[in-house]
Amino acid sequence: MIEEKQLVSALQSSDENEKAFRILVNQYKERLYWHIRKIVLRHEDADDVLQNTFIKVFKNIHKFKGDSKLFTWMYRIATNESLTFLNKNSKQKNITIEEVKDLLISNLESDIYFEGDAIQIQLQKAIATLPHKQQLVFNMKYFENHTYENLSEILDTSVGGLKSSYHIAVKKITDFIKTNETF
Amino acid sequence: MKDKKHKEGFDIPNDYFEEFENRLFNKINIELLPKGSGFKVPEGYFNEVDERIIHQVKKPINKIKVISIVSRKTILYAATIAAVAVLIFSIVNNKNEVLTLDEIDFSSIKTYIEEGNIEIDNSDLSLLFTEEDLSAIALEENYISEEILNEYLLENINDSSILIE
Repeated sequence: MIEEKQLVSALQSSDENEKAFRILVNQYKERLYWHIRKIVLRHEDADDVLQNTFIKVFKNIHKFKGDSKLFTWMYRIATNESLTFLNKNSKQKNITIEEVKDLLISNLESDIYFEGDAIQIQLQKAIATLPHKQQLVFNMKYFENHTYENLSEILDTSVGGLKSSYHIAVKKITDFIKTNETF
Repeated sequence: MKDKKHKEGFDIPNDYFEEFENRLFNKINIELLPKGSGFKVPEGYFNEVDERIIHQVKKPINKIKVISIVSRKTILYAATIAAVAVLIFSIVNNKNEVLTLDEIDFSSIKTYIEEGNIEIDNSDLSLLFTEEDLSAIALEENYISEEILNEYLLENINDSSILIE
């Protein structure tokens, strides 16, 4: 795998940027896709947001100063793009983001790109009941297995705060699943 | 519980045992949750998405270039030509057109006002007249003879009921 510093300087140079960008997309597309998909839920939307994320990365790479890791920076962009997408969706439909999420979850069963069982749908419903930040922390820790140190950089929150946020999220989710058991 | 006779020198973080319980139950809870999210992608998605992303990235750059040429240079040229044309036209026109109010045809002024090019309301109009002018107008009204008035009404008013009254 190409060194991050090398990749960044290639991305910022006018001669090599396209080649470097291809490498960047290849290296990060899957991780970013799954991160986005957990937030927007539908594959088609995740695909759109993933493209927007990389477009933003490409356009703003000259502003990247290396204060954080490249992938941390990209995760932040992906998170913002996903939330912007949900916001737009809620404004277009004139409903709240929570209602947008409820709608998306209720459509999961008929989604051809969702093969989860009843408990996995319950898990998504439970995640949707959490405050936004807890949703992010839970998804990134539970499904994507990020370290607290990475999360701290991406979400700009202390490790201690993240740990307690994650524990609270797990407690709420398991309580929700126990009280709404339908399987 | 009695203190041990010999101390090992080991120490634990503050509140370790209280927190241990929380962490243990948390782990047990997590074990009960499903491992996967259930989401999947279309077959071959991650093989083809790269090209689409590269294509999208190139597209806005081309667009921006086109917009910048059209919007900046063309508008600048058009604006310059227009400004020069207006300047020449106004210089040429100013040479010949020094008109006094007397030289302007009365009907042209009337049309100009009627077309709504000047906003004049009744109070503006009244300011243009002296009291003497106004009383002269009032006097003139009295000069309308009954004969003329009857003739006017017969010609211009269709409602016969008014005439009966």
